[in-house]
Amino acid sequence: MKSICLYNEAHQWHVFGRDSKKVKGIVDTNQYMIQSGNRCLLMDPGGIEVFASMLTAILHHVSLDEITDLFASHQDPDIISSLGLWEQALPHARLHTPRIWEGFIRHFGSTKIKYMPIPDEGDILDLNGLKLQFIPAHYLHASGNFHVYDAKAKILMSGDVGAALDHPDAPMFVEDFEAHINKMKMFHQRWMPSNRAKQDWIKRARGLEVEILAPQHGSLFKGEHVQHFLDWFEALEVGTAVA
Amino acid sequence: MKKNTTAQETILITAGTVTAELNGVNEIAKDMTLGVMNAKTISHRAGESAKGFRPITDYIEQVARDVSQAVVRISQDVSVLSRLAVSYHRYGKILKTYQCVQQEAGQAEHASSLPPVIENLERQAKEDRNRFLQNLEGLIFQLNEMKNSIRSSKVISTVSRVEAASSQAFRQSLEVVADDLEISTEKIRERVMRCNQQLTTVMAQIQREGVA
Repeated sequence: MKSICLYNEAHQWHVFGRDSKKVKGIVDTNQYMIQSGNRCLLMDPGGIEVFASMLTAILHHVSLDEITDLFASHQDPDIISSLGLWEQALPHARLHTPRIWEGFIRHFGSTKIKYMPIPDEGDILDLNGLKLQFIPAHYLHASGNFHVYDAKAKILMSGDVGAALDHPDAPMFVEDFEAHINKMKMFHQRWMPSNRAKQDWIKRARGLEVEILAPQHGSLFKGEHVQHFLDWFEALEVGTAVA
Repeated sequence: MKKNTTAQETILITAGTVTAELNGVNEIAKDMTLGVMNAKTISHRAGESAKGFRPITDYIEQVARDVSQAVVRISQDVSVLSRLAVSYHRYGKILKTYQCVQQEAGQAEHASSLPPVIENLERQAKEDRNRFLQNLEGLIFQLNEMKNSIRSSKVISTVSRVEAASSQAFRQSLEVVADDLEISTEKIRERVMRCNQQLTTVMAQIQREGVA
């Protein structure tokens, strides 16, 4: 699994993805980790199938006792079905997740981990002095959904917003935005059910200073491509499966 | 069954088969109860000549009741065994995953944080295996008990045939009761034997495989 450092100042952001060992037929995912001193937050740590590769990759950066917090943007299997495996190594970690999904996420074989339900209006996580915001992104695409914003690093981990179903060795950053549209258009039109929710999120995202928009699938948006994406998404009609 | 099926996977399949066999046993026990009611009516009509047959019908009734109760008890234990098999299977798989990570992450800077997790998982897998084996042994014991109690019913069917012979008018009807009892007990015995055989196979497989 590839690992790239997105930000390296007083704290660090890492993205993990492009797992060459993953089982054929499962969608490729990006996993994220913020390291702040001796505490780490794993974001959307992935499905069961990528767990071994993900844990191996992480051990090159931090030890297990430094992973104190997990975040699941929503309840999908590619986001958090590895939970039952993670909690064997992290019995004292806390899982931050939309409050409505706790009982559902427990189906992923989780018995020990401490749940920290995020209220609908969002919350702030203090990770060793680093303030991280859980930004509401409900109905994008899950009915309870959050993104993680780091104002210091100016990175917005945007879950399925900005996601593209791309080939497994796609570049880590979007290079040609126009060419990238084809890879994400159908995904956003089909997976995102609500134009109203989308506009609400656009308004919220435009209020943040974002240098990197980091989705859970496909390439990340950096610099001017962040604005390109927001403009494109704002104009896109979603929820199109309903005739 | 596939050659590479683990004991934990085998028991999940076996549990389903055993449950089905036990349901079959229960149905036979119900038929036995109906047969007993019929036999009681016949022996009542036969009067004094079928007097010796009455304690036999009481006994058959008791056997049918005991079998039904044992089926309920054993079925509950089979269900517990399935749950234990799932847990045993799960921890075995988790342990293997972590062992793979340990191999892969051999050179990683923080690989030293893995061994305590693996030791803990090994302990958990061992505990699960012991619990699973204990339950399995208990189940095999109960099935053996059931088999033994059924064996004594076979003797009763022979005795009932002798008693039937002494009631001239109702001889044929009472012989049918004796035949039914023999057929039912044989069917139950076969089903119990099959359950026992399957669970014993799983037990042997676990012992061959060693710790998860």
